[in-house]
Amino acid sequence: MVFSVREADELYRRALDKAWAAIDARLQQLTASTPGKKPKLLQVSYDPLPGESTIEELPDDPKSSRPQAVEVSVRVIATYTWR
Amino acid sequence: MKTSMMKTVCSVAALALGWSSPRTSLAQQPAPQAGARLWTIESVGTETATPDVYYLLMKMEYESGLAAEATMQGEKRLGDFLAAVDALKIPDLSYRICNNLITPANGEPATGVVYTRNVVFKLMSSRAGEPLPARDAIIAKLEDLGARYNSHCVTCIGSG
Repeated sequence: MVFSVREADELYRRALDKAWAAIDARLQQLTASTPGKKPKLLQVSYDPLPGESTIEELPDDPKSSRPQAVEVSVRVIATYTWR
Repeated sequence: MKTSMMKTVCSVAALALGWSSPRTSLAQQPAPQAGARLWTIESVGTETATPDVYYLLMKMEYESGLAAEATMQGEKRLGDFLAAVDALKIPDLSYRICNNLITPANGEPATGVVYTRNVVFKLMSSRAGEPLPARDAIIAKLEDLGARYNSHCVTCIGSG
């Protein structure tokens, strides 16, 4: 990875925030139809996806010496139960 | 400049009771039923950024019949190359030298040894988060200079 560590951390944090925002939004949708019942977060698993540039470059298999962008992704899997 | 995008894959699946359908797209998912005990939501968050740091790995080799000779001449050539790099006075450029290899030269039968050092150049924008200006020109300069000293770019490691 050719970010500074600080930069990479920041990108990861933002990616994580987005994943959780999407989960929260989906949770609200799903629980709207069950008034009176509240979900409880039971388990979370983080599955960081390998950081890679959008040109799919790898250090040991470079496809370009002129990368245009890099990407950091994280997959969050949240398991809920009812309170 | 940083750009951002979000790829979200949400799915819900009952783990214990009720549902047996595989994870499908968001629009097709039913809401959790009152009887479901466990349910899962999955999401992928993604951020992208334009690189502002680049690494350029270059290899310096010197071949000779004697290891001592290959080492001495290889170090001299490396020193000359780096002095030439310094003379370019490229802003935002730093480098470090790594690896120290002595390997049999190619050929049947092998008639000597090859002394190898690697140089890792680091180009970093002095303004955080901004793309490195004139990146291609700087990299081309280093590659051209390296060629004059029998060095070559092994890889320009990507981005960030």
